[in-house]
Amino acid sequence: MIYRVRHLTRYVYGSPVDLAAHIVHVTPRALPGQAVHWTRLEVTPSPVRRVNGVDYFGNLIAWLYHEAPHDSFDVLAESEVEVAFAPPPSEDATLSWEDVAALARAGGAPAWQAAEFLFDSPMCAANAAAGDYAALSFTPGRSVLAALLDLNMRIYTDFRFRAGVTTLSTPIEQVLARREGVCQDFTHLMISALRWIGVPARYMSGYIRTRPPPGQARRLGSDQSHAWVGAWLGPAYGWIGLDPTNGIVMRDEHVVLGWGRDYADISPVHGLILGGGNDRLKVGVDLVPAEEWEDLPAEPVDETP
Amino acid sequence: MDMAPIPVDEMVDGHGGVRPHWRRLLGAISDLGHRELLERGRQMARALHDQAGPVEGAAAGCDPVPLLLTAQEFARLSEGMVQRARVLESTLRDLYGPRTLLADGVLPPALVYPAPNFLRMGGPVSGAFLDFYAVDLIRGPDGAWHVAADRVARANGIGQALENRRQMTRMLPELFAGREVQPLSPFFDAWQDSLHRLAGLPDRNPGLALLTPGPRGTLWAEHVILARELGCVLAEAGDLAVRDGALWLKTVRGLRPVDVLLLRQDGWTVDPLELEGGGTPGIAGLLDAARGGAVHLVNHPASGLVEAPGLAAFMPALARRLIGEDLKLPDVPTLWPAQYGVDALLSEDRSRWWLRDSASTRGASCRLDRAKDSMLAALRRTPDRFVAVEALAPSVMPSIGSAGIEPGGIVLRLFALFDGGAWQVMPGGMARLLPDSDLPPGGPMDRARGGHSITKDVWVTVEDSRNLVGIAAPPMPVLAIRRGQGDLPSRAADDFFWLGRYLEQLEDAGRVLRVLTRRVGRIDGSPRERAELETVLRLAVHIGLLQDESMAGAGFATQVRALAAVTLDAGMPQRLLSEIARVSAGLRDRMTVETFETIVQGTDALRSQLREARVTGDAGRTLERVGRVTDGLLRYGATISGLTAENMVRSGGRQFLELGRRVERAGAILTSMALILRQKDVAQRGRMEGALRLMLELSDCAITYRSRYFAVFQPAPVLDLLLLDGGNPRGVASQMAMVADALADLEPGDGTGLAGAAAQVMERLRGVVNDVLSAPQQDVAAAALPERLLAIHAGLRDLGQQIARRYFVVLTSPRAVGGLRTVDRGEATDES
Repeated sequence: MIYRVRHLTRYVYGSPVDLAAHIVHVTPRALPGQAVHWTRLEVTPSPVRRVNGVDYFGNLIAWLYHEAPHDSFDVLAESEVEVAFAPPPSEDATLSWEDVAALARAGGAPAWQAAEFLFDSPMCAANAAAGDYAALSFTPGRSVLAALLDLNMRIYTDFRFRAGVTTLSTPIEQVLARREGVCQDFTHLMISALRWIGVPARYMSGYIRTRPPPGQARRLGSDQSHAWVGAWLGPAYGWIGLDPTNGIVMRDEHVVLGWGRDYADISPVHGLILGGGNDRLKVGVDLVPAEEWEDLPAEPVDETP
Repeated sequence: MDMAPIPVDEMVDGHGGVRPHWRRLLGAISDLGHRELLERGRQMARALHDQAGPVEGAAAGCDPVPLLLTAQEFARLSEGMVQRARVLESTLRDLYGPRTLLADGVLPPALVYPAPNFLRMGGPVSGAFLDFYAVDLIRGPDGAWHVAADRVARANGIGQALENRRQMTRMLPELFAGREVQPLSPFFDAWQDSLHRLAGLPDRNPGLALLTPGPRGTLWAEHVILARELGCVLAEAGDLAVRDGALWLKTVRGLRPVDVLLLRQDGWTVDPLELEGGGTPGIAGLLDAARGGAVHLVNHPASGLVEAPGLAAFMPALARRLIGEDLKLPDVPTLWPAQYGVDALLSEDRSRWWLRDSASTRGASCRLDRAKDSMLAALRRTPDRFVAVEALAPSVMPSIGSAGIEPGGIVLRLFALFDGGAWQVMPGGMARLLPDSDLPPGGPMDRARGGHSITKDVWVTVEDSRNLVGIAAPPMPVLAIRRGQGDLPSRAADDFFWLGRYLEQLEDAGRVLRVLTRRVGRIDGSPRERAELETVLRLAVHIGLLQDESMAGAGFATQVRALAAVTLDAGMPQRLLSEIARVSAGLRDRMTVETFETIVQGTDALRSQLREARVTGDAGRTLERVGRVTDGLLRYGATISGLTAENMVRSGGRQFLELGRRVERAGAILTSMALILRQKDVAQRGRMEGALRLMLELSDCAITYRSRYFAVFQPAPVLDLLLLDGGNPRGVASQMAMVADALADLEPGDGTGLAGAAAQVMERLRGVVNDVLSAPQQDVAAAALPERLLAIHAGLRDLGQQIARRYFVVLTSPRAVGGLRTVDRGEATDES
């Protein structure tokens, strides 16, 4: 499947910002199952210094420095991406989750890279309550893939998607108690559970294809950034993408920007500014099959919280 | 049950005999005697306190008995230390590069990934990770030295070591008599050379800076000593900025490049843009600038990774693999529970093992026999997140206690630097007395954890007295002649400005207080005296010295009580003194030692005088005490003015101190004149005469006036003396002349318009005096002046703000946007 992605982040400052330094994670990386045909990044006002590079995890980033007063800051990323991730192996083919956990913990040749995602990170520590919730899926000797798919489905069915009831700093326990939240919450919940159990898990950042309600036209900027989980199946099969918000496996409806241990490693736009005040943030995302791109209305981007 | 192992005694051998290299020192110690040593120790503590000032971050005390190391023993230790430095550098190069140590299973993942000092950076590190290195050593009961901690991000204490040596040489020359102790200064020379080499600038005077959290940090004294010794600017994060890919220091003359930055804080805090940040401020874009080669970081912030306590269990394997040698200097015995087995560990004598976080020096630590169930459960769940360290009994040596000579356990810290070709170890160091309360070897020993802050000088004796090796100095560029305040950071300039203002406010308070104490109890009820008292009270309230004017009509005892309230902690003098202490502590590296010590001692003395003055009872005695405090306030101001005028290097920010003082003083004169002229019925001759007298008294000009005009008080001569007479050092005109001088010093040619603004103030004052002089009735004209004087005062305040805008950066901190990178990493205390 070939998609066009457009991701606009716009800060409008109540008073001018004199100095700014940002790192942006808005360009999709190439990986097996995902080819990036073309991509471009437009920054307004034009930064005095821009450095393109990769972060520690291999994600594509840019450092952007502004040294003159400005009232707004736009980061517009556009790409064409082809995705076709391999289907998961059969459940029986994967190791038991206990074996995967032991391998990861031991490190060494087969697991030293995956092991990184076993440990607590600033926003996603191994969590006993989340681990207890997941334990129902991780029965003794069960294949790791079967257990992961089961947990993915349980979160999808047990939790309600509801925007506005949580923030980035809502603790896992509260999400567990309320049984509602957004993709970030479910992703952090599942990662914290898997880290408790001992299966390496990472935070995937990107986009998911949405369809307008039946009978309605697609609106510009109506999509959002999305998050889901990468989980390790052992040395033979590597990583699988699991989307607990939608109860699905990553195949051809997700576009990957990159990954990290949690949101803090890969937030799309973050930085430090001097000045400003009463800032307003607008984010608009469009992920559309390339052949439908021309049908998108050319309206200005909607304001989203 | 095992017998507890017997600690080694540094001074006495196993048979009760004094070790040979200690004999002469022991003789000198007995000659001095306990009481004398105790007194010298106190003097050293006082000297160290005066160095640091009455703020946190004071240097630790120094015990008079040094630790002695023979040259032979030191050679063995430095050989081992140099080897470790090489192993650690290679370890870092691998872990931030190909990571073969992980891929080949030499190191477990739990030592690296969860470590807060494992920095996930966007790019490789060029150049060396380590240029400086310290090691903590404990001599175990087996007689061998063991490494308790490798310190690369926390390699503090070398400034303290240097200061200890200076104090010892000064206060205890007897101990050095007839023996040769290896000097420390060649090491510092070599260090300075190595920093210049790192800057890599053959033709420019390099910009060196040391990043410090400031005078509130617990290591402030250390940072000040180091900055002075290495000739680098002491900079807070707010003084530095990355622009156009390079690092700059904001100074009163604009931005100046920084080529080498010494870092003394946790690696993850140095660049809040690329890393997670934390409580300590960092510099956005610093790592990006370092990658581009624009600035060299000492040590590279990523190097803190090798401080992970669990690494101790793998050091022999790392040495063999990375440099093909056997480890010469062993660690304190360390068990890796993930391999040794949790059950096996728990069946050891638990009181002899400490449980520590394997990846973080800041993690929880606890003696195994006191570990709570939750900790033991965590140990079982994730044994690789813990390491067990033996509670090694440290060697003991004598110290001077209050009751006598007391034995105490010690830990030794040695320091080394990379000079571009090889590692050099400083022949000396710092020993620290271990507290009685248990602490894990190599764990934090800061005061917050109950650690002792008593240190010891470390002497390496010279075997063959001609064995001193000189350091070959590399060719140094010829320095360009530089005058003026060079790279005075804007923050320091701001502090000087405020120091000047606070000093002047304090003196002003003293002058008002003096006028008040003279009048209290002398009121005979005449309306004129009463009105005068009310005026002075209004002024006292206006400047913040008194809360209200209610004492005007009260009886003697009540008046005295109200007056004595100014000595309270919440009172204006105490508040100003604490501000002066704070600001001057921040400027310590910019004043001569004498100036700074005078300020510290004067401030301390005045503060205790204020505290004692409030002991009340008899009103007469209280008034006498308030009077003495008043004299103290005025004397303090005079002393410091004299000092700064003569002793402070002119380029060291004195202009800003002058500007602060003079603007404040001129403002105070104008304010007091305006308030006095606001008195009711002041245009009446009798009242006007009193008002003019009061003005002269308040500004200390009464004698000068009398010498010119005898006892005739008329408005125009008084105004001329106070406002226009450049020959009157206490008048506004001299203040403004000094303002103009300082401004001209800062910007010859004045492109700023500030000198113009100052001249304008004088122009308006001339108008005032002329109007009074030419008025048919001077008294009436003078009575109409308050609003004009206040307006001129406002112009002066404006000038102050213009100076601030011109020279001091708006010192706001940047805000984080997007992401969520303010992660609490637990206590952000510096430890030493």
